[in-house]
Amino acid sequence: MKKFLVLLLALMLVFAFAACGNEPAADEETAPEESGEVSGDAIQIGAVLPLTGSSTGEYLKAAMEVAEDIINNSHDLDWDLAKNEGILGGQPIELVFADHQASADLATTEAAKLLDQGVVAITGAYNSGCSASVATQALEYGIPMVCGSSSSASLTDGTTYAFKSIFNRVAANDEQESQEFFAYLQYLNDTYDAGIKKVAIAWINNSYGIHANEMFEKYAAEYGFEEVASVSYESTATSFDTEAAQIKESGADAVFQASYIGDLTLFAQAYSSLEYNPVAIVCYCGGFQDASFANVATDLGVDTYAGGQACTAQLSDKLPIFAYINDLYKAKTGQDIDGPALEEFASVIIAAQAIDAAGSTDSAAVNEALKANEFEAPYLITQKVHFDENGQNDIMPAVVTQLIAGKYEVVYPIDEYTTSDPVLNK
Amino acid sequence: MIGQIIINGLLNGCVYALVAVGLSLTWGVMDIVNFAHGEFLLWGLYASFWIWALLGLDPLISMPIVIVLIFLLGVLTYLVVIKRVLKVSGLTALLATFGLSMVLKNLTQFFWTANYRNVTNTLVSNRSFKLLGMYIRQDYVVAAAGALIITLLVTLFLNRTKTGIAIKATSINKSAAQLVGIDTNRIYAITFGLSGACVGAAAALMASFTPIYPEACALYSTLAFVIVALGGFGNIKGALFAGLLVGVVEALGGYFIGTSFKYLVVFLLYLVVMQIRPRGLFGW
Repeated sequence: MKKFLVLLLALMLVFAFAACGNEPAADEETAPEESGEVSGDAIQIGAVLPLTGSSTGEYLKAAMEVAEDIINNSHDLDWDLAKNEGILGGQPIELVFADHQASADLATTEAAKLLDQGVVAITGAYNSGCSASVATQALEYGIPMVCGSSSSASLTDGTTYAFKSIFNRVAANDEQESQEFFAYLQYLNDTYDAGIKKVAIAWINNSYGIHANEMFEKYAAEYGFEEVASVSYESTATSFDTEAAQIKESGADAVFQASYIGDLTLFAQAYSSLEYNPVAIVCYCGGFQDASFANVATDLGVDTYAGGQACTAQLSDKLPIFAYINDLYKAKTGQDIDGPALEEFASVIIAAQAIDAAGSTDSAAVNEALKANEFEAPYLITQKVHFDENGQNDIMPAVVTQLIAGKYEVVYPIDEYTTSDPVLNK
Repeated sequence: MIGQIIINGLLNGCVYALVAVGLSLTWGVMDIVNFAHGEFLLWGLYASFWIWALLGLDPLISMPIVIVLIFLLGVLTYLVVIKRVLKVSGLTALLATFGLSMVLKNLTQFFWTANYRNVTNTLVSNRSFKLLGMYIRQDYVVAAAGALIITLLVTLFLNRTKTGIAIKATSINKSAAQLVGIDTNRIYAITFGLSGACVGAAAALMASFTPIYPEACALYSTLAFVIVALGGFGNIKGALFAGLLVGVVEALGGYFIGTSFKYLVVFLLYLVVMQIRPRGLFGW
């Protein structure tokens, strides 16, 4: 009887906790996809993501599933891909997911499994180091890879890795972002007399952060800003008070962050507690784009965080197809689509468009189609995507957004898509 | 600037000590290594988060509920996982808690996904007050006060109550304790429950400044083991001092050597102390 009671108590406790789990992101999942099995005549596209661990893979997966829905089913949109059912005259696609848990080694293994199973293209992998691992495997099979949101410039510099023939990346890389960010600071100085002279950077000690720091240094010099601090850190740290104090001590007028959501949150808290209010805080992709950071910034009462985004919900009125996609995504996850999720969405769409353009699933033809075509992208501000010979999307795929009153407003460049003036601490 | 760094270190150290006090009960006093200690903290954080999200209760208000929940988790851990393996070698219990740690972490992922969550708009904000030109974070001060109070309460409990003395007696000689009529089974269950309660209190105090996700407590857990060993096994006050030491060493190491290496300095200190004083700085 005692044992029964103990077990009953244990189960009650577990389910009491579980009852709280009204997680909207936990959408229905199909067992065959999770186990990597594929079926039927569908065209199989691999998707390697950090589905478990500390990243936000579930949101990225949801975005890819929206892309699968757009491709396979008919939607009443002014966009042929969405109107038609399937590609190559009606064949559906099937996404086959694999989990790399933010480990480059695991990414290699999982990519190899998918490639052995015969996927015709591969997408992912969010973390830059993992994307490199997946692309290295894909190169061995000659299978095209469309990378959504990884931002390390080294992936498409044409020299660091050998996979440029099969690799294509939708997101802005950290070189493009650095250039745009410094142009933005220059614009703030010229237009708003912001007085930004000294800049500092806090960067996570991994492939993403290291390259972001390199690009930061390159463009700080090029645009004539004085670099006063470069602070690296480990993502697992429990707090960043020392790092924040060092940056404050440097007297930087503007701070760059190459961070993920957890570390960016802790940095924001630390800056706030030190009453450190630089004129601008500019964030590379990653943490800033995570919708949960909007709550953090609102809670702290700061409007100075800016960063690159492929799009923002504030542009829904101007981009009806983006608004439609955002609605589908929101129904699955309960939140607006963010930059990385939109880029992962785009990676699946473009893989399908390339297969359609190639007229077959032959990998050589698809690789050729990826490099030769300009792809329609009515869900992006740029409206199109084109890859250069190294696989980089060379139509600048990001704008500078600023979190103002909890909303991602477009503040730069100044064109028909600008939604707000920037907010500065002066 | 150095003053600010040291203050940051001391306050962080209090948070570490807060997490370590619970561990020092099971590992330090009872000599059972609970590898699931970090997951207890994690479930405490999630409990605080969900009570805040669903009922709108601030973590400080809901602290008693979280303490009870994690107390129950501790008791259940003993009854379901530890009790059966106590009779065999110590390594078996250690491996059992390692397994439990994996189960709890995966359940966390399963129930609540890997997404980051934050408790916002709390009673104690991330703001600071200025003292002698230094910024002191309010949330850390509350956590530090909690660490001191919990350490004091646990010390008093162990030294001044019958149950506390029975816990110490059981840890020194289980057979002798049984001979004098102590129900050691009950004592073990209470100790695990108390350890959980301490972690529950720590989680409630930390919820306002800790991003909550399945890996959130990995380093806290590792540091708690280091702190208990540094402080001296069985010495609750030692854990508090060791926590402060680790916090300050981490902060100064980060400032002078490089922020990427701040934990390297902590673990080097741990290795050196273990060579010189294997029983820890304050161990008997």
